[in-house]
Amino acid sequence: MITKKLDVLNDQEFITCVCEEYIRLMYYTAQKYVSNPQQCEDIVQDSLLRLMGKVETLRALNEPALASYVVATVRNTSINFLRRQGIEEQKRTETYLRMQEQELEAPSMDELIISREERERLRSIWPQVDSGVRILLEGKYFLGQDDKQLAQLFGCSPASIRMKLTRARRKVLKLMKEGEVVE
Amino acid sequence: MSNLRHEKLVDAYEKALFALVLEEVAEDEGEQLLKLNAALQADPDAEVPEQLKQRCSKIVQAKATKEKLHRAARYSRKAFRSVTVAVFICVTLFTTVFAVSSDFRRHTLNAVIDVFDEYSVITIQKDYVDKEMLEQTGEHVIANHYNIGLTWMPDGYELTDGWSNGIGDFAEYMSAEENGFNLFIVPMNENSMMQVDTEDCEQVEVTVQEHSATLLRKSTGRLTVIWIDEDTQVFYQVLGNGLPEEDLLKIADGLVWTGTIR
Repeated sequence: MITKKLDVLNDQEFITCVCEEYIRLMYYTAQKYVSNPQQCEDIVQDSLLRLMGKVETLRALNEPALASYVVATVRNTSINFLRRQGIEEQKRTETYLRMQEQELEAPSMDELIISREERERLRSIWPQVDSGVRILLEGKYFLGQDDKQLAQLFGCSPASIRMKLTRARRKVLKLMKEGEVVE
Repeated sequence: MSNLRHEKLVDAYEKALFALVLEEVAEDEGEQLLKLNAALQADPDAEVPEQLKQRCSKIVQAKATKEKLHRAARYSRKAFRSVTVAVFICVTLFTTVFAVSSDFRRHTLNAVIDVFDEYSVITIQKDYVDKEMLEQTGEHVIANHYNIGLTWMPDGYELTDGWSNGIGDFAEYMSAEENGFNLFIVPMNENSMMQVDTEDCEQVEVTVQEHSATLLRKSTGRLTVIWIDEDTQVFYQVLGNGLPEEDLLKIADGLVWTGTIR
């Protein structure tokens, strides 16, 4: 638990504090993707660099959301790293980014009453969503990544990412409406 | 209300909805992560390598230093990069196998290197040897980043930048005195052409790793050694600023590349 008052720290002190607090969690997360200790270290370092560019965003988060943000950053950095490693790792990368590319007739927003209860419902079905869809939506709406960064992560063009986002949102809304996993 | 406007409003609403939900999901998952983090903090087996902590600490310090240097408008890594014009890769329709030395003498080209990756600082521990590289290659690699391994480097240098972008691999090291060297390695094919800055350079034939190589001595003091491994068709460049010639050649001789040949 971070005990210091982060809002009184300057950027360097802030990021140092975050790093000290979460470095074990970051390393633990990287180890889920690569086994080589040197590569884990490189991933943690690259993740720290990304976080250093997002200090303003991080300052606005409460502690649970901050922990999620840090882990999501390491996860994305790991997947990018695996992708850069080449064909041998491609299959592992694809496992994490698996998205069932089906055309779905999703309910329109007009058909949904978005109340607080509906939002709770959406949160509850979140674990059932494809990992690729989760990573895509998390990257866009939580990490604030742009289309270019997401395109790099998924190995496609920025235009394809926009289409993937539309489909991902529709898929999740459909799950929320129907309350079942789409096979 | 027109259809297009309605669609835009619905789109905006969907995006806001997902942003809200993702924020709430993040908090839910974050509560679990905080528990995991607490468990990791209490677990001695979850301790991270000390060198990683030092690397991270140096990165943060170096960024703060870099910002100060930039504000003071002193000679910085940025200036070093602008001087380090090196390579522009182009794939052409012409079948050209890049040949070192005599081709260089015929061409005088200026080129620019694009550096894509973030700035980073790492301290290499003295006597550190990458055990995995030792097993794989038999080489005592003391620094290994972005597929570029070094079996020797002068004291006082730290990795400050690097990238692997699927076309080539790049790593840059600098000292506290702001001397530095960088390494650039590219697997080529018969349609590749490499352009290297040879303007105002004295060219000397040398041998690196039993390959015929060219050492370029620029009037500014910059040194570049380039060669092609003709068996693997991989292009190598080591460029130095402020380094003795023998150090640069020693770095080049001890280079180990573990990238992918196309």
